[in-house]
Amino acid sequence: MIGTQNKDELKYGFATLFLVMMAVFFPAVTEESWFNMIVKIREAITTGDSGHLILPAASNNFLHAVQSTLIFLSISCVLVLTGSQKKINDNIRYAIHFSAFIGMNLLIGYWMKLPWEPLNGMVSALVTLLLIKPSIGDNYPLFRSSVLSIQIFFAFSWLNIMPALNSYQFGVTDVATSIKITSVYLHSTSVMNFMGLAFFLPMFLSAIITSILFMSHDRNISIAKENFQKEKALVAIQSQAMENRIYEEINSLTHDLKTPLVTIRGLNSLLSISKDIGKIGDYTDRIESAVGKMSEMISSFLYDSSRQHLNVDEVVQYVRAQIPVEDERLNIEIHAEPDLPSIYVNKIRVVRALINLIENAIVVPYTNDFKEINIEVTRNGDDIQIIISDNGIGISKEKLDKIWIAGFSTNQTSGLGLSFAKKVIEDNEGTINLKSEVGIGTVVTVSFPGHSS
Amino acid sequence: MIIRIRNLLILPVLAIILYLISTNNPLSTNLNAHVIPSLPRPIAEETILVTSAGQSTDTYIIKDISNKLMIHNFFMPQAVNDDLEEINTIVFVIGYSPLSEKVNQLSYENELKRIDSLLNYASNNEVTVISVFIGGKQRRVSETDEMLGSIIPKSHYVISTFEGDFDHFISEMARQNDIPLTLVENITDVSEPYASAFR
Repeated sequence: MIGTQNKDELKYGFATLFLVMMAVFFPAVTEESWFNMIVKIREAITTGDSGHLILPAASNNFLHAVQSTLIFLSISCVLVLTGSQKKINDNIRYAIHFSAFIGMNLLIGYWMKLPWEPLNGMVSALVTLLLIKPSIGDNYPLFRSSVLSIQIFFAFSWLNIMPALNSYQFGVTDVATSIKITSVYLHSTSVMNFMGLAFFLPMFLSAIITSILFMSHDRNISIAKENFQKEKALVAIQSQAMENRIYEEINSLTHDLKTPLVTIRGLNSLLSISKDIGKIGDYTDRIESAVGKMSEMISSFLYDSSRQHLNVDEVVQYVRAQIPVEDERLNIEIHAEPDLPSIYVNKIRVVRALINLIENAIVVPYTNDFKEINIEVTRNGDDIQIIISDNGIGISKEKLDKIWIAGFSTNQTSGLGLSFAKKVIEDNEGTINLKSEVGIGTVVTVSFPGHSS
Repeated sequence: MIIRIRNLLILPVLAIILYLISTNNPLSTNLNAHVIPSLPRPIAEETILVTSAGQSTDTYIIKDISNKLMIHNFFMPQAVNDDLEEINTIVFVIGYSPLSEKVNQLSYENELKRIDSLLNYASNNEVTVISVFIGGKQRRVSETDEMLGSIIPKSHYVISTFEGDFDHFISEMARQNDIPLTLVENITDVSEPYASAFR
């Protein structure tokens, strides 16, 4: 951070030095061009051709504009280098900038014998500061100052050669005066007026548009930054919620693991006291079976791809055992067709997914006297269908498209249950479909391919 | 509004300032009796020398007018005494141009000395002196005024634009020295009074 700051200071330091040197010695470097303008004006008078005035007019305006821009930018750099934007009020800083601009022009004019256009210079500087002020932003201040100041100074410099503005003290320097006097003599004042306006207006409008574009760009950046922060916060919240969900699942698995552990403990105690050799074998077999179940549970949890052939009744019983039924006004009925084929799924995850769906049905608000939840397990061709229906308040059509989005909830829950369930079911080659009607209830249909073995 | 309304208030303020500094005065009636539209009879003879006092490009305009009026002239913006042989009239075109002086490698002090020397010669040898100032208000810097102050009192006829005499500096000097003065509206109106000095 400090390194970057030093780099910036160095960059501005070099820029300041360069611009100040350029501003001071620019008149000397361009002396020949000034002389050529006088020669061209004399030619215009001698030949009677006002076309000869165009080149000195353009050169005069260009050189004045460049000189003014160099002075303006060098002062900008000095102000940035001194950290004035953090230390002093904006209006005071711009007043200092304006005053320094006038002072530097007078100084360089006196030293290098190059007169400047006082009114034109001041008006240009004022307009430039006016346009820079709202559009400077934090992004590339020197670049923006350069682009705006070049346009404004160049635009206003064209007012110097307009005879129509003579009485307003525009174009009081030697060359501008000579050009205007010559244009009067050659009856070409309208040409000079038109030319001045033709260059001034587009450049001035261009500067205004540039300023607006800079402001618009800053606003967009600011909005994008804000959106990025919001999204980051949302991702953090979702990540936290997902972490909580994982802890929930671990909790559930831990709870499930306790059952075979209790079995193993019990059988182990019996082993220690039993003297019947025949029963020892039975006990060790049952311990082995319990260990196998634990191993299967842990594998199912750790590995998505770990699947087992399961009897649908077994799954139903497992789910029934884990449904939290504490509310007296809650009626849960489970109906399963007989002789259903088995399914080949990850038992722990699929059961958790089904329990999520049932928990959703339990927590959804309802308007009737009793909450009815029906779970039907049926055959549908080669597939096994598990249909969970409730008589809750239902979900509106507008929200139905969003229910699968992680984090979206209609009941102030984490909003992760349905998305988790969908993922698990689809990972196990199943499908899930949800239909709902406001005021009637919701029906969730889960299908798994049946396996005859 | 992206550009704040209060920032736009600067525009009417600027307009008021510009109006106040505007020199767009209506044509002023100069009550000076020495101001005449042109000379009633010629006062100068050809061959004339058109020279510059201040080296402005206005000198070239007077040279061009002289040529168009077929007035036999020598054009020497930096004429010295040695160039005045056979010259009956010196026309000084007054207007200070620092850039032109630099182009011609002249200093302001040397320019003043040259002018004084020419005026002395003219005075000693009965050479008619005509002063012309067409630079307008923007040429009226201190250096130009100094030259006007030294040339006009020694002139026999002065031609200026109204704009150049915005503060009556020229007309007052002409009055004090009893010199006929013609003020014209425009540079293009110089031809008639200028020609009247010769024909």
